[in-house]
Amino acid sequence: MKAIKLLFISMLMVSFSGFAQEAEQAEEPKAEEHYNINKFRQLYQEFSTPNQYRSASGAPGPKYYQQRADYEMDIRLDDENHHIYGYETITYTNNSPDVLDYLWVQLDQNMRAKDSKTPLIEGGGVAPFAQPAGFAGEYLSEPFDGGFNIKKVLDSKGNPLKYMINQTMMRVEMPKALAPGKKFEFDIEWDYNVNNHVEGRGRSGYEEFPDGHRAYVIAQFYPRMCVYNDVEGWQNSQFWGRDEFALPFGSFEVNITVPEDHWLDGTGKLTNRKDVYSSEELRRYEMAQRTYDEPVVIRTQQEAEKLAMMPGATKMKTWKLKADYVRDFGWTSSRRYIADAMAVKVGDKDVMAVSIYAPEGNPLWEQWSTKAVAQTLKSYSRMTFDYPYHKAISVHAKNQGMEYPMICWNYGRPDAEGNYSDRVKFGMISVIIHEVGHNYFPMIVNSDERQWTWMDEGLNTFVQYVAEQDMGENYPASIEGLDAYPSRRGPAAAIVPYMAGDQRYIAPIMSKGLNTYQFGSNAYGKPGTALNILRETVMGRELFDYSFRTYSQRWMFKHPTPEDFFRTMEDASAMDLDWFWRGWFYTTQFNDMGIKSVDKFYVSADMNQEMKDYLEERNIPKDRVPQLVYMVKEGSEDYKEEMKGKAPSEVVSDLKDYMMDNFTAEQRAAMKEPKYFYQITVEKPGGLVMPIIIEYTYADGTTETATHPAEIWRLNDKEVSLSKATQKEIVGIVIDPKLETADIDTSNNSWPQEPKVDKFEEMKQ
Amino acid sequence: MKYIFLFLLMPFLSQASYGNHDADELRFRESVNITAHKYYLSVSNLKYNAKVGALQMTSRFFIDDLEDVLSARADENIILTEDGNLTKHKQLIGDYFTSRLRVKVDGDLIPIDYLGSEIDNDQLVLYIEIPVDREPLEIEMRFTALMELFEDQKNMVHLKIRGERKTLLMVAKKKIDSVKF
Repeated sequence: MKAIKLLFISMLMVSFSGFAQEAEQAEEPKAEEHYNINKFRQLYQEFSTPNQYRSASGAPGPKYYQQRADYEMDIRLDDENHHIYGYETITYTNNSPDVLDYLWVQLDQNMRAKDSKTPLIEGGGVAPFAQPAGFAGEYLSEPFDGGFNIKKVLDSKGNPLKYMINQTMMRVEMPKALAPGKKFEFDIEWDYNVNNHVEGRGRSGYEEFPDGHRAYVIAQFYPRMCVYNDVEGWQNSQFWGRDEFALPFGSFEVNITVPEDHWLDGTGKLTNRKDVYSSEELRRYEMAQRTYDEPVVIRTQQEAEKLAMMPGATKMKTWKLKADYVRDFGWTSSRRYIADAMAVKVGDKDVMAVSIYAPEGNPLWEQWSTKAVAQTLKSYSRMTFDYPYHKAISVHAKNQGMEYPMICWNYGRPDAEGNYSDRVKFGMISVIIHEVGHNYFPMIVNSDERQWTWMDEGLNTFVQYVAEQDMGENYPASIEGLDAYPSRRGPAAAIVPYMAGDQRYIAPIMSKGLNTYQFGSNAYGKPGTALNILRETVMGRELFDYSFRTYSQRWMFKHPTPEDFFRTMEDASAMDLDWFWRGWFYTTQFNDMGIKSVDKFYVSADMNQEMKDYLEERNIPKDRVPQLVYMVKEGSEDYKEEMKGKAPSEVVSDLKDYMMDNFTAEQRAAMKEPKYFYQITVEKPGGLVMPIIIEYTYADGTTETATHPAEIWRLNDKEVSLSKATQKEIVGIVIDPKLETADIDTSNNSWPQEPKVDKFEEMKQ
Repeated sequence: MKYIFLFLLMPFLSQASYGNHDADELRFRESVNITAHKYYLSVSNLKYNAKVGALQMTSRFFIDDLEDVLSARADENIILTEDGNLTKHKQLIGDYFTSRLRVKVDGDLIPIDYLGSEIDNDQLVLYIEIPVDREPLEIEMRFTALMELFEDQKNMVHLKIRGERKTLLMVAKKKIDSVKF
């Protein structure tokens, strides 16, 4: 008898759903033919096919290669005329399987050349009014000539090489093509005018102080090799001023000659410390190497101020720096510098956290810069790999933050009286964490910044958020008066204004930086937040952190592409995240979910209207239907008040019989029969697919949260109905109660609808 | 939790950071690689509230830029913080925006009503009402806040009228913009 009953029920089910389909087809016009538009389809169209260079796992393939460029340089700074003279020998190693007919060298400073095309791609038109300085700069003065003056390009025997300059790139012809595995050595002599980075802005240049002395933060100061690789061939995208750099790894030996009263530091190990430090400075430095809690001042404010009051040395001194496994070189020099340092334990190694700043940076810099560097090294090393270099320097430059291997410049300056607001302080700590963090992305995990700004900025913004929160925990004095570090970027809710914005001014993350509208949100905020959401809400910390570390370690000192990142995150976690990458990185979709309706159901033994209608349609007599468990919607015709809160087995005798026949007394005692049944219909006006995080509040005040994976949207992208059976009555339902999915409109996320807080009315009181 | 209130209010939200690096910006400011904003933009959202009988507008300005402008005008150092400074300077902020924001609704110039403001991270959120008795057909704005100090300041206003969304954009070389619904 039981078997027949079950058969009947299953037939009913089949025909029910069949019936529903027929009805739908009859009413709706025929849907359009289409390609696979399911949001959970794989990214086969977007990704290139894995190959011997780059594996499907996201790891470097068995034939992965990268080129190498080694530099020996002599640099001289003419402080008086803010002019740099340079001579370099580049040894380029062709590790590719290709024969290279020519080499490409980057001349980034040509962006500042008189004939630079950078101003010509700006379509701003004529401004109707301007500040005098701006007007003079635009119309009255000769444009600043900050391009490279290439004096000589020679082979190793001193013979001139043919070269051609195309804006910010120079093609060098070799006497014969460079075969795989071969090296080519050549020399370049050049000089250029250093720009004032405070007036004209820039990633490099000098600041002039009222006393006439200058502080230099110098980068892109030498002709440097372009990247040649398996995805782009020669990196051939010009430097227009925004998209940063793509550079091969190599070693650097750089001798920099500056006035003898300058304090200098840069990428690499200082190999002649004894020649350039005073014995007192040397003693203090050695003390700093043994001090782990507070920075030790190596050149004091008093000493810097004393030098600043003097006319400035004319005698010169040479600082020698040597670096291995770096992709670039930066340095700083001034007679007005204070320097402090302390040791940081990273793994089993000591790393020096160093800060260099003019007196204008105090009292802020002496307090927080070196500690922010130390926190960055600890947090980033935990999230990725142990910091492999021996030092990390934070240099104070007005108005700018910019990163180079082992050294970066950061803003954050008190006013003339030495006062600063919390905003200035947190701005400074954040930028230091960010720029020191760039040592990991892209200085070590060396992605192509020219093509994919988000690969370093987005990943870095994400880890920056982690490090900022650590800073608040480990240095409570830095956030005095607050519960946590006030991160600008990272929390899901902070990206909502951008996600909800005008679609005309939003580009997908997978865009070249130069071509995006809202650069900061596009390349920093959104990818940083997406990764934070991926970690906290989609994958969980354990899976995410393992995968993120795997990516970082696989691509340490190598050149990853976006796919290498996406593939590794899936490969190391056993999570198919194609839907996440597609939505967050390849589209401008936003997340918007809402509760459309909530229906309550109760169990009844009496045939409900749905069944009656069904039987009538098919002319089936009612007595042919065995006893079924009927669900009755509250408020429907079948609903009666007394149905509420009853256990199903009390109501339906056949269910009771089934339980008695099939379960032991012990099993029955352990059963928790639900009395309340809910159908929650969630609608999704937004295009992004995200998990549904739903919080139920019961009549007794307790809450329960369930997370439905994003795959819940796989068959219907607009609307899904969830069911919830419970012993206790539900009095409230909220979607995304902790604001972790960047839902752009939370006014429809609650049931019953919460009264809106009217901020306008509040303001009127 | 602060965010909740903001989001309830603004189903149609602003871009906190419309880093518009088009126009002549790159030329003057190469350094866009940093974490802080190096662009000058305010984003406002406006919609009609029939119950109140007013257009209600929230505007977001970067606090540091606003402090610079207010300080320059007042010849004293204006700092906007939550610890009472905001209340202290309410009049100053209100007067400033009343002078820099002119709104014409269906051809009539309507004085704005500055209600107050609050700090959200590095931005100040202003609450402004423009009293009108019916949902407008045409809105014209002249919104020149901060342009006297920052040449490339852009003031962008997203409007939602009768369910239709449109945007006004005011820049130094086009200080007035209007839209019909």
